[in-house]
Amino acid sequence: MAARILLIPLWMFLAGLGGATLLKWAPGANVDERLLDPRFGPGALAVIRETQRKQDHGVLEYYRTFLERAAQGDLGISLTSDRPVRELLEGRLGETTRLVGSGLAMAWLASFGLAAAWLATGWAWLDRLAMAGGSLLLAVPSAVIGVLFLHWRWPAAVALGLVLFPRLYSYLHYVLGQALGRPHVWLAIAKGLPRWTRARRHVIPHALPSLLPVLGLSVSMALGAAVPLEVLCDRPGLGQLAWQSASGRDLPVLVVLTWFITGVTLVANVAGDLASEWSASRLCGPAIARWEAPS
Amino acid sequence: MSRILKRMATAYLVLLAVAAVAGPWLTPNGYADQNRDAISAPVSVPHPLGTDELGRDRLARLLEGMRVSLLLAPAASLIAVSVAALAGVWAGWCGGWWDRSLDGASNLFLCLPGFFVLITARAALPLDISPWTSVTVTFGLLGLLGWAGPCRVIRSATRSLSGSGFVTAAHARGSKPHRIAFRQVMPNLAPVLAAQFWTSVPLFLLAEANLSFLGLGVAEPLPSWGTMLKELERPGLVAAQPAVLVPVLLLALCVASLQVVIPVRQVSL
Repeated sequence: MAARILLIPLWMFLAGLGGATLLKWAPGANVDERLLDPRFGPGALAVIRETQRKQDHGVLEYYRTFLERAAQGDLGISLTSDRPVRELLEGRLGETTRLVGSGLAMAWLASFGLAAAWLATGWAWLDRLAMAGGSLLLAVPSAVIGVLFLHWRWPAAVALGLVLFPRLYSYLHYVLGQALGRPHVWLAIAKGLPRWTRARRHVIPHALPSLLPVLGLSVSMALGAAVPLEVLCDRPGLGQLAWQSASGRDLPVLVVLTWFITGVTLVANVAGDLASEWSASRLCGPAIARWEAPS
Repeated sequence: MSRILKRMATAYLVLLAVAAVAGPWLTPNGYADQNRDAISAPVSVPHPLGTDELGRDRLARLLEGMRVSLLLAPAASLIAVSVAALAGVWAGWCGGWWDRSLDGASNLFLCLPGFFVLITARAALPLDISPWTSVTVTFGLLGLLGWAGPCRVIRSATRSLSGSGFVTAAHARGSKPHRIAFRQVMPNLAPVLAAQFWTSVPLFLLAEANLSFLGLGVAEPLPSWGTMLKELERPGLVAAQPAVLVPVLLLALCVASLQVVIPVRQVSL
């Protein structure tokens, strides 16, 4: 786990470098608009090209300069909006945090609530209904869900919750189903413990070490699903910024976004894994925790 | 019940494939033909699904779009599984540093939001390319970026196979490692590869639909399932012409049918 935490800056560095390389080599990247201006003669165009050639030191030099400036808090200037990237990010972070946070909360509440109700009551139809609804939602592109919500003027966070719900519920169903088949649960059934007590004491606590890493993964899923939803619902968040920068080949913004999103998702995943290890150690003691914790 | 559902799903997929192949003979209109006298026309005999805002027959475009998506999503899946097979077998067979590096890289790819990676990579490619180049680029990109999930499964299967009895016997017979990898391990991975191939197809269909919806996928005038859905953005169109919902219904049914028919059910995120 310590190695994974130490590797986060390295992966962020490599993801940023990968993004910068990809976009630096993109056809038409860094083309000076003045080269297309018919008012400039051949001599002036040659001077512009020569100046540009001298200024362009390759991707590694670009990335080194970017990192040096980033260390001082300067994340560069956006090519499309001519505003500091840091200002753009700060302005949009709140919107994405609100959307992703509320979408995640709704998806987790709905999927965990339904799974807990299924465990407590034993109603198979409830589980079948949730699985069938989830399969239907999985079959519809998230952009279509977003645009339907836009037409009906329903909140985008509910759309995000609906996109995430089937993925979370199918995993919860699987993990809780596995925990239901454990010997100590059979013993609890033989003792005649009520369903809800069995679920609360023996099923859910034993499923927690497998469920907590999914918290981290769900942050990554929510960030991915937020991109089309923010674009379609005109929400000024990071997803919309990513789409605008991708359409406008805004290299400085895309490199910072790649960096930022890689960092957030890796930290969320490591946090989920740490919580899983902690819950496994609380449940079974340190020796068994190493054995029980999901790899 | 599940057998009936499976048969219905298979029949639907076969019907869809036949309609996609026979598309040009099913309607006299071309997918790019613009009929200026019938702009945004409602459902009628010459235009069973109406026309779009440029007067193009929606049925002809849907059939062509289905053909493009149903042909290229499996092609993208083939690319993803081929890359995953090469990397996964190599890492699982060699172990050590290769295995650890590939595990880290696939973890990173799985952690990153897929759609964000997709639009960043698409941004690096030209936007003013020919329609057929754009469709090839879009699905090629989906294939190249979708290797991480299948790679983990293939790597794990290779590692378990490399400790099996027949591989030990091949070592004892003096077979060279690369020969064992290609002659003994690879053929035994076929069911795993097939399952990964089929599970990737619906994912790529949906990813293309999302990408094209945002204008970063297949270029006009060539249709795909994703570009057909773009019409839903026009306010009031769904109420005025419910036929615009046909492509999304067909796509959702296709993805749901693939989920029913796919041989291996996986619980993954």
